Amino acid sequence: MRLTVTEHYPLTTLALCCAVLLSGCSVAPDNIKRPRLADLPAFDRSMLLTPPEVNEQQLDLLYQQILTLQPAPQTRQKILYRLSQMHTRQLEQQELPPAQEREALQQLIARYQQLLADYPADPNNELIRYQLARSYDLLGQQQACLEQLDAFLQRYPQSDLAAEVWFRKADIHYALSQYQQALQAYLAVLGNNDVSLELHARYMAGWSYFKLQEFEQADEQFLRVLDHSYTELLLTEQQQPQQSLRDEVLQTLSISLSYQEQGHSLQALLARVPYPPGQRPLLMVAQLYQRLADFLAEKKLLAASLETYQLFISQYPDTLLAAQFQLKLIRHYLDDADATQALAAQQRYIELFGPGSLFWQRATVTELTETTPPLLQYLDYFARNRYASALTLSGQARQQAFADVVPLWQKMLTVLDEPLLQKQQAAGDYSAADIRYLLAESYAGAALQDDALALYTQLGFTATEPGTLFTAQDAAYKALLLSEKLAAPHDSTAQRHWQLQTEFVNVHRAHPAAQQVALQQLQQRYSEQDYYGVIQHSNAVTDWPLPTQSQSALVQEAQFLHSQSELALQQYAAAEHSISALLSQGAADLSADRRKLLTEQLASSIYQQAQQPDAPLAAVQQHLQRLLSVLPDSAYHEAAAYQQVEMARSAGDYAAAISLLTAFLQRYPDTERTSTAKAQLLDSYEQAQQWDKAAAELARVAAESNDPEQQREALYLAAQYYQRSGDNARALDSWRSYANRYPQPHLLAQEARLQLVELYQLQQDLYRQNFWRDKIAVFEQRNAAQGNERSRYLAAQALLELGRHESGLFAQVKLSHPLKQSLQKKRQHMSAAIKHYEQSMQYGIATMLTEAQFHVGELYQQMAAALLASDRPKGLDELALEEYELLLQEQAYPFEEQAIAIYQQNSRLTQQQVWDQWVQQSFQRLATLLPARFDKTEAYSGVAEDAY
Amino acid sequence: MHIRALLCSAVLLGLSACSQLPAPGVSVPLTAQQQAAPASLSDIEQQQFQQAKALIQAEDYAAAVAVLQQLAEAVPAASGVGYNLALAQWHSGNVEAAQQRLLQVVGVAPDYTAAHNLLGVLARQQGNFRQAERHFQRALQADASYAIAHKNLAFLYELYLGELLQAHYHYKQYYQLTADEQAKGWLVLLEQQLTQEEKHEQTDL
Repeated sequence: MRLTVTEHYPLTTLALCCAVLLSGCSVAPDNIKRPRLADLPAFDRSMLLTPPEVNEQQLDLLYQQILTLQPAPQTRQKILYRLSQMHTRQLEQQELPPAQEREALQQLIARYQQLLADYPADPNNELIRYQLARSYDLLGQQQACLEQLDAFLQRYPQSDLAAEVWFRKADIHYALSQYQQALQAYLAVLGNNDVSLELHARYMAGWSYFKLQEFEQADEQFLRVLDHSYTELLLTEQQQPQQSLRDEVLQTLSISLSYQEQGHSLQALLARVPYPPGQRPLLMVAQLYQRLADFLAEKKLLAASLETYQLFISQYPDTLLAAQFQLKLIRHYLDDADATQALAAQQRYIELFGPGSLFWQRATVTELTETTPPLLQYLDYFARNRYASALTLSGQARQQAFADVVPLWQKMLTVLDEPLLQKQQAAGDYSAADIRYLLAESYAGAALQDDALALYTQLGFTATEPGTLFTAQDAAYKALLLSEKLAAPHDSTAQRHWQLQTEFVNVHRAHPAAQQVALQQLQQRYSEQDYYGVIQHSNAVTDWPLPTQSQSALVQEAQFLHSQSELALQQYAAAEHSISALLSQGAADLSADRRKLLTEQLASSIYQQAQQPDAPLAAVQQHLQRLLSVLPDSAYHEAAAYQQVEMARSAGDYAAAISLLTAFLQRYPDTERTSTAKAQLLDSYEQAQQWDKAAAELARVAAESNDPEQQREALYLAAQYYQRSGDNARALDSWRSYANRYPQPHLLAQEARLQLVELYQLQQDLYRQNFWRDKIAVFEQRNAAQGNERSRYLAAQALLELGRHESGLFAQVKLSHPLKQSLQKKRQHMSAAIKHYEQSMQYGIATMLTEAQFHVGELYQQMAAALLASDRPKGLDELALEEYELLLQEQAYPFEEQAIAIYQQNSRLTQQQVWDQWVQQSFQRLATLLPARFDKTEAYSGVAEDAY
Repeated sequence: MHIRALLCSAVLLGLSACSQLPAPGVSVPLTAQQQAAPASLSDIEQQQFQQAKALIQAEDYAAAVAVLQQLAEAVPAASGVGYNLALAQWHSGNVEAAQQRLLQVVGVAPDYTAAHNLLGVLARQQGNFRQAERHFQRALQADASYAIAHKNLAFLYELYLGELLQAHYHYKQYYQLTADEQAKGWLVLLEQQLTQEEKHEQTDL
C-alpha cells in the first residue's frame, strides 16, 4: 500500500499530506476535552468514618465553640480534621464566584498544610494530602499539585486513592506535554486495576503513545478502549454514554493508522490484539474499517480508503458487511466514473456474493434480501452485455463468448428461483422465463446442445406470461431444430426428436412451421418405409386444423408421400386416385420433374392394377385401355399395349391380336419387345390362318434380319405360308430361293426340294419336277450321314418317279427301223430307268422297293415284248422273216427271263409278309409268264345247301 | 413324333377293336336267345333260304345279301345261312363283312370246314398268310379229308410262304383225296423246284 501511494502520487503531494496530518495531530489533543480533577466524580462520603448527624453550619459552630474551650489535643486534632473536611465539602457545595472560591480554596490549603504540619502522623493525612493536591489543582497550581501528588504516592503507594492520584498526576504531565511521564502515570493507573479509571487511563495512555509517535502501542490502547467500550455497550445496551468516547477513539485510531500502513496496519492490529471475550464482533471490526476508510477518503487518500474496504472484504468475504463494503467500492468507482473498476467490482460482487459463493451458502434470508437486488442488477447487466457481444462475434470466439455468459444466466436463475426470495421486489423485476430463454440461446451459441435442447423444450411446452421475450412456440421450435441437429439415426436421440416433433405439432399447431414439422414426420415415416403409417397420418398435414394457415405446398407434399406409400404397398387403385388428384388439384404448383414422375407413376399404378393376378379380365382390359387412352405417352404404354396383345392372343382373338400387334410395331419399331411382337404377329397370322400376311412378314424378316439362321428359318416358313395361302408363285420363289441358298440343314433342304417338285407338278412342269427330284436324290446321296428315314423315303420316291419318267420315255420309244437306233434309245431309257429304280430300291423302303422292282421286271418284260413286236424289216422273205423272228425271240427271251426272275424276286417278299399291289401284280405277271407254277387260285366251297 | 403318336393311337384302336370283335379264327359264342332257337327253319325262312341260294347262283349277290341278312338275324344259329351270306357279301366286294359273318358261323359251328376254308382264302388275299394257314389247318382239323383245304394250303406254302415240303405234302394229300391230274403236274414242278433248291444248297455249301 505504501508503495502504491508512492507510485501514484508525486513526492510533493506526499509532503503536503504529511504536513496536513501533522498539523491535525498537533491539534487533536486540544480538541479533545481532557479530564480535569474537577471532572472526576465527587469524593465518596462512605470513606468517612461517621456521617454528620446535625447541620454542618451548626456543627461548624459547635466545633468552633469546642476549640475555644481548649479541648484535649487529641480531641482538638479530630475536630480540626473534622472541620477541614466540613469546609472542603461546603466549598464543593457552594456556588461561589471565582474570587471567593479561590480564597476559600487557599484557606483550605492553609488549613491542610497546618494540619499536616501540626499532626504529621495523623492517619487522616492521606486524605488531607489528597485534598491538598486537589485544592492546588483547583487553583491551577499544577506544580504544587504534582508535588503533593508525588508526596502522596511516596507516602501512600498502596492507598485506595493511588489510582486516582496517578491518574491526576498523569493528566498534569500530559497537560504539561510531559508525555513520557504522563504515559508512565497512566500505565500506573492501569496497573492499579481501577475499573473506573481504566477506560480513561487507557485512552490517555493511547494518546500518550500517540504523542510519543509510538503509533502501534497507541493503536493497541485505543483498540482496547474500543473493545472495552463495545463490550460494555453490549452488556448495558446503552450506546449513548460511550458513543462520544468511541467516536473519539475511532477517529484517533484512524488518524494513527493513517500514519502507518492504513488498512494493513488495522488488519495487523486486529490480529495482534485479542478481543477479551473471544471473537471480536464483526460489526465493530467493520466499524473500524469503515471509519478508517472514511477518514482516508476524507483526507483524499482514496486509494488507501478503497484498499481498506478491500482488505475487509478479503478477510470477511462471506459477510453481509463485506457485501456492503463491496457496494461502497462500486459506488465509489461509479462516482469516480471509473467504469473499468466499477465493472470489475461488480463482477467481484457477483463472485463473492452470488450463487456458488460461500456467502450464498451461509447467508440468512435477510442478508440475501439485501444482497440480491444489486446482484441481480449486476448479473443482468453482465449477462446481457456479454450476450449482446457474443451475438456480434463469429466462429470459436462467438462460441466461447456464449459459453462465458452461460454461468451468469444460471446464477440469475438461481437467484430468481431461490424460494426464500420469491417475494422479493427485485426478483419481480426480472422474468425468469426470459432469462431461461436467453440461457437456452446461450447454450445453443456455446454449442452446449443438450442443455440448450432441454431448456428450449422446457420453455417450449410451459405456459409463458405476457410480455416475455419469446413465445413458447418459438422456444419449442428452436428445441425442435436442435433436436433435429442432434438426432442420430436409430438411437434415443432420434426417438426424442420424434416425440418432440409430435408434441410440437400437437401443442403449437399455430406455429408457421408446425405443418412443416408434421410433414417431416411423414417424410421420416416414409424414409423408414412405414408406408401404412404415412397413409394413416398424412391427413395430419393435408387436413391441417387451422385451414387458413395451411400451406398448399406442404399439403401437396403430404399427398405425394401418401401416394408413394400406396404405390409401395401396391395399393395401386388407391395410388391412382391419389396421384390423379395430385395432378389435377395441384397442377400449377408441381415442378416439371414431379409432374413427370407422377404422370409415370399414374401410368404405373394403372398398369399394375392390370397386373393383379386375381383381376377379372374385363377389369384388366379396362385398366389397360384407360392407361393407353389417358396416358398415351407414358413409359407403360408399351407394356400395356403389349399386354393387350397377349390378352387377345390368350383369348384366341387373333384378328384383334394382329391389329394390336400391327399398331404396336408401328409405334415401337425398335424396343425389346419388338422382336417378340413380330414373332407374335407372325404366330397370330398363322393362328388366324392369314398365311399370306404371315408369309409376307416372314419374307420381310428373311430379307431384313441380320441373323443368317433367322433369315433361313423365316424364308422356309415364308415358303410354307405362301404355299398354304395358295400363292404358289411366291411359294415357288421362296422354296427355290431356300433350296438354292440353304443346302443345310439337309433335311429341310430336302423338304424344300420336295415342295418344289410338288409345285412344279401342279404346273405340270415335268422337266423342273425331275430337276428337283434329281436334286433330292443327289443331295441325299451326298449327305447320307445327315439323312433320316424321311429323307431316305423322299430320295427313294424321287428316284422312283425319275424311274417312272424314264419308263415312260422308254415306253414311248417304238422299236422301228432302223432298229439299232431306236433300240439304243430305248435301251438308254431302260438303263436310266433301271438305274433310278435300283437306286430307289437301295434305300430299302418296302412300299417303293416292290414297285421299283416290279417296274424293273416290267421294263424287261416290255423290252422283250417290244423286241418281239418291233417292226420287221421290209422285204424279207418268209424264211428270212422266220429267222429274223427267231433272232428276235433269242433277243427277247433273256429280257423275259430277267423279268420273270425279278417278278419272282418280288413275289418272294411274301415270305417276309410283304403284300402290296406290286407284289400282287408280280404274281399276276408270273401267272401269265409261268402259269403252270403261278396260275393257282384257291378253291372254296360253293353255296351251302342246308341252312344248318 | 406325329407318326409315332399316330402309331400309338392305331395300336390302341386296334386293341380296342380286338376286344369288341373276335380275332380271326376265334369262335364267337351264341347268345342265350340264339341258342334257344329251334334247329330248323320255318317255311317262310326256308323259302327265303332257298331264294337266297338261287340269287347267289344267279350271281345277284346284293339281293342275296339282303335276304340272307334278314334271315341270319332271325336264325343266327343257322350256319348255312351265315355261310351263304358271307359268300354273297364277299362276292359283293364286302370282304370285311364276309369275314365277320364267317367268324360268327364258325362260332356257332366250329367244325364248319367250308367257313374255315373261306376265311383262309380271304386271309391269303389280304396277305395274312399265317392267318390263312391257321384257317386252312382248322378246316382240316375238322375234316382231314377236306381236299380243298389241302390244295389251298399247298398253294399257300409253295407260292407265298416258300415252304415247299409242306406244299408237297398237301399237294399229295389233295391228289390222294381227289386224284386230280393237275395236282400231279403241280407235284412234278414242285419236286423239280425242290431238286433245284437242293442243288443250290449244295452249291452254296
